[in-house]
Amino acid sequence: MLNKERVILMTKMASYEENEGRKDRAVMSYFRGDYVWFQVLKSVVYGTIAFGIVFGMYIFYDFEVFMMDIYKMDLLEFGRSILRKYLLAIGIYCIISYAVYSYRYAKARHSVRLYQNNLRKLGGMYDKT
Amino acid sequence: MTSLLVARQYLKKFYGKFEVYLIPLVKFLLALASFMLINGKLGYMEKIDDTTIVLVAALMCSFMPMNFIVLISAAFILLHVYALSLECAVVMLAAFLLMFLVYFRFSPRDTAVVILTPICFLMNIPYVIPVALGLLCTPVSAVSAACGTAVYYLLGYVTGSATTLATMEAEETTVKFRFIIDGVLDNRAMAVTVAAFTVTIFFIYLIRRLPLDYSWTIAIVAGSLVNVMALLVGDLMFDTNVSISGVIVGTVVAALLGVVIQFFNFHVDYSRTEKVQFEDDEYYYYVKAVPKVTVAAPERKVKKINQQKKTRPSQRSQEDKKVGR
Repeated sequence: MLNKERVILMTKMASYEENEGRKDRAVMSYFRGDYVWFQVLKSVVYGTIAFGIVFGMYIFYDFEVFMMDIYKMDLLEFGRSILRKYLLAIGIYCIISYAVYSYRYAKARHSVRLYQNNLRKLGGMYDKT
Repeated sequence: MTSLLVARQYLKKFYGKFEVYLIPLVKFLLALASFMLINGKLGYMEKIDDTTIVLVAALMCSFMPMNFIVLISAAFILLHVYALSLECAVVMLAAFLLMFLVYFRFSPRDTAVVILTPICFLMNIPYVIPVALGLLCTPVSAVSAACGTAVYYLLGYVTGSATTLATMEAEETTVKFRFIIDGVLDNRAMAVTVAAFTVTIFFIYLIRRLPLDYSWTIAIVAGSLVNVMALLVGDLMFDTNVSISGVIVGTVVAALLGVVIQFFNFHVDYSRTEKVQFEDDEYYYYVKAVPKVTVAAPERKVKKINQQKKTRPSQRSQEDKKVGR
């Protein structure tokens, strides 16, 4: 005989396993610190590429003026100012990444716990019958 | 109203039954619309401005994840723009890379908005985007809407200045580059639209989350007014030459579509709201429960009158034996 409550619970669980469950399992295969810092590291790489693109466009925008000024300017100071801007941009991006991925880890942990509770509940239903 | 609710139930049932075929079909149509619009608006590279290529690409997209449509659309745009001018293609590529690297890493699901926003702009219903995102998504989606708006205005600028770019000398690479960058950064209409969309999305989201009766309806109306106000104030301040009648009509259409979204997503009966209070060991609970409006879709039953029982001669003889005739 079909148990309606059990079927509903199993359908919900199967739907979770198929969709968000996969991602959550991948997230939960890491410790919190490892997961968040790995994502922040990836953000550093992506942010560096993005900064490189913006910097390249900035240089190319006034390329002739830049080439004329390059002999006059203090290259060390120019490098320092670029580095400061880079660190500021990457720092902000990393803080945002840290917040986003910490939240995602907490959410995944909550979902996995709910799923495990449902599993226990399902097991209980089978024990009763 | 009951017939509308029945129709909604039928639609839900239909979607549930044919989901496997409907999702690829929707993806195919979206990809087809997107590629055809790109070819129609840009169309500088004749090799890819071909129906066969568009159909093949759209077919391919129908079986791939949603983000694949965005990638192929970006490739189409880049190829067309490359045929016009290398500098334009470089600027476009940089814009796409920045979008994908910096923002879409966080929310890859929102990439569809980047396609839908320019499509809605070309269909003259751009204000549907902030209303729909405010109702269905979180305020973070404002970034996706901003990216989509930027893509639309970037394409508009490229097509608008195609003749100027074509007349420039090949040696003037940096001049061309500066011309494009200046044109994009000084685009006040784009800045005002992005700001108006962001404000509208935030406003609609905040109001629809309030524990008020009819919060979704209030959010749609108030959000639409905020959208009109923001665009008109932007026009007054920055002289963006926006069409007032276009803004008003477009916003009314967006509000109507918002009502349709509400009907499918949040149709509740406030007259049957229940407020209950209870407590456990740790908390007091003040619960407000609003019932959803649902109707069961009527099922067709075919009743046969004077139905004749058809039995084979062999079965008939067996039945006769059982009876003992």
